[in-house]
Parts: sequence; structure tokens; C-alpha cells
Amino acid sequence: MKPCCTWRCIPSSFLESSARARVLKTRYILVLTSVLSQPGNAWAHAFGQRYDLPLPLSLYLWSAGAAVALSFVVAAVFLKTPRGKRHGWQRDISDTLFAGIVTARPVRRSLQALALFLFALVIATGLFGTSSPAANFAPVFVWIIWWVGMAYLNALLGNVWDLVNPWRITFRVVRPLLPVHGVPPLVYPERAGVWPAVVLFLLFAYLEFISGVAEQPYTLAWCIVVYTMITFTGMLLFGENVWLRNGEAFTVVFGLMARFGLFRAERNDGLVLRLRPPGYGLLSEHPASLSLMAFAILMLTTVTFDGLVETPFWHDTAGRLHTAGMSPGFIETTALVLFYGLFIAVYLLFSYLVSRLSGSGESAVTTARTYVLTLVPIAIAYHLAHYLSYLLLAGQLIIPVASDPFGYGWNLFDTAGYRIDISVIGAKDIWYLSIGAIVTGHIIAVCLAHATALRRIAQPVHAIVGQLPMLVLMVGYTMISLWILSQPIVAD
Amino acid sequence: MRTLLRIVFLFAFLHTAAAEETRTIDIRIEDRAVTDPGGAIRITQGESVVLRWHSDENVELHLHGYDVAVDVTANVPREMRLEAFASGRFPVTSHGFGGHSHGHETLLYLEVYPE
Repeated sequence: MKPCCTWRCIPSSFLESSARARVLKTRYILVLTSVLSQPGNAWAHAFGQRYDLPLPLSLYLWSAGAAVALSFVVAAVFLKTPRGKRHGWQRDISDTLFAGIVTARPVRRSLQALALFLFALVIATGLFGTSSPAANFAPVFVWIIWWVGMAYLNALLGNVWDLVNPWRITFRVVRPLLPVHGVPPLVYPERAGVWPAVVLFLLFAYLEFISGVAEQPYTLAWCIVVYTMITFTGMLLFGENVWLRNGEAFTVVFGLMARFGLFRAERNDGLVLRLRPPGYGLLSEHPASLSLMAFAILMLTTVTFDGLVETPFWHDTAGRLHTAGMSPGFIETTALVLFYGLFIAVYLLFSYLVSRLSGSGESAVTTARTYVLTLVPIAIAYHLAHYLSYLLLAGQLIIPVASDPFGYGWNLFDTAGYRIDISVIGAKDIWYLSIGAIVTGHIIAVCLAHATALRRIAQPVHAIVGQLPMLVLMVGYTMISLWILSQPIVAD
Repeated sequence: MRTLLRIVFLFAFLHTAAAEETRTIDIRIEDRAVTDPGGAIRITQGESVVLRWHSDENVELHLHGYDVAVDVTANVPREMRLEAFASGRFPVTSHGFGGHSHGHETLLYLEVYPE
């Protein structure tokens, strides 16, 4: 996410009591007075920048090496392990105190009420608030807190979105008032799969990366209103759950991430809560549908594309094309579509190799559908690494904006003057957390792929050997993630 | 023993004094682009620096992250003092070259590396 914002900052050393801190404090006061005496501190052009330092070469090489080496360790372990049962690693914890608290009705209703309130506030502030993105609740909440934060929550904890999806909640509230009852009028065609969600997510990616208007509160609010109407139409025609599962883009994308998460809550004759290892939820008895595979690859593409467009390589290439006469919108749209096509082509090629080497006799497409979800941990890991500092730094904007959501000059919680503290997390911590996440995501992906192979191929040796191309693909994808992190960020 | 302690303290004092010295970095802007230095400016976290700006046109400069802004007059050096307490890669953008307020450009990046 590249838009810009006004940054204010206070050094965290302000609160320390060492002598050095006192020296720094004096210097800060000098800097502050010199800053305050400058004219024009309403730099409204900037919103949510990232200040990450490029990953040093040594860390890049070390983590790449670790990913490769550990992949072979995983392969060796799986070779020795007998085939496990389907639900062996997932545990039903519905009867625990933890589950009792977390799924208690007052807890759920409060979270849903909060979600509904925030949804209404986003639309209200977007439509009626200031047009300055960093001072308006809508873009700050939607792009930093919601789009990044909800991804984190789902990827780490599980299907939180199913609980707080504002479209589901609003529909339930509004439905009794509508002249509709009984069975939905249309039956959702099974062959349609999640294709509507693919289309909608593509439009969302266009809005976020290419349109250039994503951070404008008014435009954002109207996009949300239009999307709400589309979602409501789908729910009215086909039924709430059917539409959400197949056509609502965010339910599908957060659903994919939630499969990685530790918990899963679902209604199964009462509320059931399950605990499982990270990524376990991505395993499945059956290959993913063609449309779900298309969606998963689109998600992977957009996550990588997001990082790619901040690299010097991209800036130089796009710059040259722009000088040659192409518009930035055309360049970026073409690049996204080409990138998506390239990803699909490469993935199908490697799936073909897996199918041949493992002797499964399945087509490349069937193999591709079988393994596609095992790539998701790599995308999640990159997403977490890429957005960590953004969430911690730009995310602090929610503090002043909470006191003045419309930008009218209010100060509800006395935090309107809050300045972002850029020292909250340091470059070194970000580097280590990033490579930790990426290597972990990679290993989980390799484990999932091997587990899938062992379930489907009778001979363990064939299964493991057959996984070699998938391993190469995963290492390649992880390398791309690491490469992007090692590139200096170039804002436009 | 006392002499030894005095020497140790002298070294410690000189070391800290040296560490507290402020480095000045000259940056030249010609034709709305930075000509000197080429590439990003690298400093270490904890350093005190003075960025001395030289521009052939009037311009407002803004260092993001640290949120420091200066008004530079044509051909008059302007100092921007900085205590690099936070690591990261921070853009410096320009506003209103020659007194006309239009879009912003990223002039250069300041990279603060952890110790």
C-alpha cells in the first residue's frame, strides 16, 4: 500500500531515565523547536508510507540457505513417517474453559456490534469527512487496520472474519425488514464455484494498486456502498451463506488465510471450536476447485505484486515504458494481468512435472488443484513480513483519528495531537521477524505438500521424489519474497 | 592507580565526546534533482547529523518519518539538524520548486542503519 501521510514523531527515549536519554531529550527539544518554527506542517500528500530498510545480503543468503536445507530435512522426515489419519492433528476443544469464554454469546455479540459500528463509521466518515486521507477515519481504518490487521488475525488465529463480517451482520439486521422470506429464489450453480469472488477480488486489486484513488475517503466510501449492494443482491438471490462462501471476495480471501490459523469455529449442532497446527487447515481430502485455485493464485499474485511495485527494478522499467508513451495505469494493469498469467503458467508446468515424477497418472490441472493451497503459507509469511512495520507505524494513525474521525477538529479521547513514534520497532527486529516468518512459512508449505503427496501416492518414495519440482517451485517463490524484502523501497 | 584511572576516564570522555560530534553532510540540488551525493545517505542509528542543503531554486523540503521540514532559499545553504534515534529508510520530498505549489517529488532517501 503506497499512499502517503503526515508523520509526527516522539522518541521513545523520552521516558527513559539514563543520562544518555537526558542528552537525547535535550536534543529532541531543540529539533522540535526547530521543526515547530517551520512553516507548512500540513503535508497532506503523504499516507501510510513504509520506512523499512532493505534486508541485508547476509540475512538474505542465510535465510535462503536455511529454507533450502530445512526443506530437505522435511523431505527426509516424511519419507520415514507412516501415513497419518485425516483428522489426527486437529483437536476439538469446544468443552474447554477457553472455548467457553471465546465463543460465549455476549462476547460474540459485542464483537459484532463493534464491527457494525466501525463499518457505519467508515462509510459516514468517508462520505462526510475531510478529504485528507491521513486525517480521515475511513482510509486509515480500511487500508491499515482492517485490510492488514484482519489478514493477520485470520492467518494467525483462524476464521475471525466469519464472526465480524459486516455484510453478514448488516444483512441479518436488515433482512426481517425486507419483504423476503423462506427459501432464496435462485439456486447457486455449482459450476460457478468462486468465480464471482475472483472477479470481485480482481476489481479490489485494481482499486488498491492501480486506480490511485483508493485512499480518497469519498471514493472509498462509495466503493464500499456499491460493494455492499452487490453483496446484498447476491445474498438475497442465493442465500446468505451460499453467496458469502462463493461470491463475497473477502470471505474467500480471509477464509484462505484462516485455514492457516490455529483455530476454527463453526456451527455444527452448536458452536464447535477446533485447535490445529498452523497451516493444517489448508490440507484437504479433495483437490481444490478450479475457481478456488484461480483465486488462490490471484491472492499469491497480488501479495507479491504489492511488493514488486516498490522495487527500483519496477520503477526503472515502468519509468522507461512511461517515457515511451504508455500511461501508468495501462502499465500496471498489463503487468498485473501478465504476472497472473505467468504465475498460472509456471505453476501448471511444475504441477505437470510433479504428476510425471510421482507417477500419479493425474493431469497437470488436477495435480495443480491438489497442491495449490499448500503454497498459501508462503504468501501469508511474505504478507506478514512486508506489513509488520506498516501496521506498527502507520497503524498508529488510528490514535489521533479515533479522536477526530471526520477531521472536523474534534478531540474525543484527547489524542488528536498524537504524533507517530517511529522508534516503536527497529530495522533489525523487522529483519529478523521477517526472515523468521518467511522461512517458517516456507517450511510449513513444504510439510503440507509432502503430507498431501503421501496421502495420494501409494509408494512413499514416489511421493517424495514427485515432490521435487514442487520443492523447487516453493524455494523459487520464497526467493522472490526474500529478494523483494532486500530491495530498497522506492515510493513514487 | 589514580593516574591510571585518570587516563581511563580521559579516554572515556574523549570517546563519548567524539561519539557526540555532529557530522555535517552537504547535499546539492540542481535542476530539481540531487546531484551530490549520488544514491541514498547512510547514517548510523544514534548519530547526530546536520544535513546542509544547497539548492539553485527555492523549495520546501520534508524529511518523512522524522517529520522535519525546511524552507530552502535559492543559493543559500540551509541546515536540517537530526538526531537519528530511529532506524529505517526515510524519503525526503520536495514541494513547490521555484515557489509554485504543485506535486511532490522524492529527492533522496536517508537510511538510518541500526548499530
